[in-house]
Amino acid sequence: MRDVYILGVGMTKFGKFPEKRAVDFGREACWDAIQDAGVDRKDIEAAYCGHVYQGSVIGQLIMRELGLTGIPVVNVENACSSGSTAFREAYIAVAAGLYDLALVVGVEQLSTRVSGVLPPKDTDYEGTMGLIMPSVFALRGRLHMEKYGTTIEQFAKIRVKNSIHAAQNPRAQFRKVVTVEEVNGAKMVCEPLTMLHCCPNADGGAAAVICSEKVVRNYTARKLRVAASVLLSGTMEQAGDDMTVSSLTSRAAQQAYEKAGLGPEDLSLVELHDCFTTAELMHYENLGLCPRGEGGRMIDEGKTMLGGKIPVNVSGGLLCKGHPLGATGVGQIAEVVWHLRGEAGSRQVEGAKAGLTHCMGGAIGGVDGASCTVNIIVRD
Amino acid sequence: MDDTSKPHKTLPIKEGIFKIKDGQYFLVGTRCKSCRRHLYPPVEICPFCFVRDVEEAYLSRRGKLQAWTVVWVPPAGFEAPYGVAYVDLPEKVRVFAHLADYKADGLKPGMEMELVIGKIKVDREGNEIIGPKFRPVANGG
Repeated sequence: MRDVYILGVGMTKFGKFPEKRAVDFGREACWDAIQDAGVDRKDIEAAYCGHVYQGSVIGQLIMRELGLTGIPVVNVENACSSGSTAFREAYIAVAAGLYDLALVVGVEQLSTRVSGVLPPKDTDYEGTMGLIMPSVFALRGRLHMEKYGTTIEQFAKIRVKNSIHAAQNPRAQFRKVVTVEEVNGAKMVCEPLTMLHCCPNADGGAAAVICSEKVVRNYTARKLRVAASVLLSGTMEQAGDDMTVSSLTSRAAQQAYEKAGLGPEDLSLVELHDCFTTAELMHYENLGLCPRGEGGRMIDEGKTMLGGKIPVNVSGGLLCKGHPLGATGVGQIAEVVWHLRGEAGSRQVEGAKAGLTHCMGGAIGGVDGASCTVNIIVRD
Repeated sequence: MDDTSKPHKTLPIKEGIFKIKDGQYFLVGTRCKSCRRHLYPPVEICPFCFVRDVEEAYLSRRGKLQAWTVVWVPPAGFEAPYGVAYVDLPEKVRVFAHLADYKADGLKPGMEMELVIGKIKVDREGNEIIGPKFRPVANGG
C-alpha cells in the first residue's frame, strides 16, 4: 500500500439553507477543494460522494456541475459516517495504486427533509419501538452519571466549550456563546438532555482532494499524510456489557493508533462525533484521551478547550458547527488540515502536528452502533 | 363490513415476539441449539456460531434495569412523553422496551423489572400498536 496525502480541502458554511440543494453544497465545496489543491480538474481520476438522504447518483449530479464526467463515481451511505467512509474508500483506491488523484465530497440537504428528530429506522426492531438517536446517548449518559458521578453540568460544559470554539469559526451554524444555565434550561428532548445538549440538523457540504506519494511532490512541499483511515461496524451487545463504553469507537481508535504508530498523547487536536454532549464526554474515554470515568474531569479542567492539553472540536463540533450528516466526516478532515497548515485563524491550535477525526453512525438493535470511522492525519 | 369506517385494530409491533402462556405474556426469542445462547428478537441464524439449528424460546418475564430515559420530542406515531429502557434478562439477553410508566420514580440500575404488554404507538391507519413494556416489581411481589 502506498502513502496517501491530502492536497486540498473545501467546506461550505453549515446551517439551515432550505433554498439550496445538495448539488449546490457539493459543487461549492468541490470547487474550493480543487482550487485549494491547485490541481488540474482533468487529472482527477475518480470521485467518492458520502450522503444519507440525498437519493441515487447525487455524486454524479455534483460531478456534472464541475464537468467531471466520464470518471468512476461512487456514492456511499453509512449513516453519520457516510462522508468519512467515502474518504476511506478514496484513500484505499489511491493507496492500492488504482488512482493517483481522487476527489471526496460529503453533502446533505436536511432542513427540507427532516424537522425535529431524525426518524428512527422502521426496518429495525429498536427503531420501530421508538429508539431515536437522542435516547441512545441520553440513557448511556445517564448511566455514566450513575456509575461515575458525572453531572449534567459537566455535560452542559461540553456545549459551552464548543460554542466558544464555534464563535471563532465563520463556517459554523451556531456562533453564539451559551452558558451552562442556558444549556440545561432549554426544552427537554430526552432526559436529561435538552435541545442544547443535541446537535442541530444542518445542510452543507465538504470536500477533499487526495493523492498518492508518487505525485504529491508535483503539487506541494507541505505534505499532510493520512497516517490511518479505519472503518468498523458494531459488534453484538449482550446482557452484562457496560453501556457507558463504546467498544466500537475504542476498537476503531486502537486500530488507528496502531496503524499510525502513535498514541493519543501524540495528537495536537481531535474532531470527534459530538452528536450529543454525553457522546463527546464518553468518547474522551473511548478514544483513550483519558482513563474510564474521567471524562467529567477532562471538561472541568479545561483540557479539551482550545489552549488545553488536547483541544477537542475546536471547529465547534457537531453541536455548534452543525451536523449535515454526509458532510460531517469530510468537514472534520478539512478542519484538521487547516490546523496542520496553520490556517485556522483565531481558533488555530499552535504548532499542530497530528489530528484525529472520529465519526460514529446509526443505531440498530443488538449491536453497539452501525458504523465508526477514525482517521489520523499528520504533518510530515 | 367492507366500508372504510371499520374499527381500528390492536396489532403487535412485530409478529411472534410475545405470546400468551398460562394466562401470562412472555417475550419470545430464539435459543441456539449449538451454543445455547438466547437472542431477542428472534433470529433465523445464530449470529454467534452461524448455524440455522435454532428453536423458539420463551424468555423470563423479569430482568434487571440497565439504562433508561424519557423521550419528550417524539418521532411520528409516538405520543410523548414515553420512557424507554434496556433490561437484561437472566438468559443474558438485553431487551429494548418501553417503561410502563414514564413517571416511575426511584428507578435504579440493577432494579428488578417485570414485563407487561401495552400500547407503544399508533400506526398510519390509526391502529393501536402494542409491544413490550417493563415496570418495577412491586414490593414483595
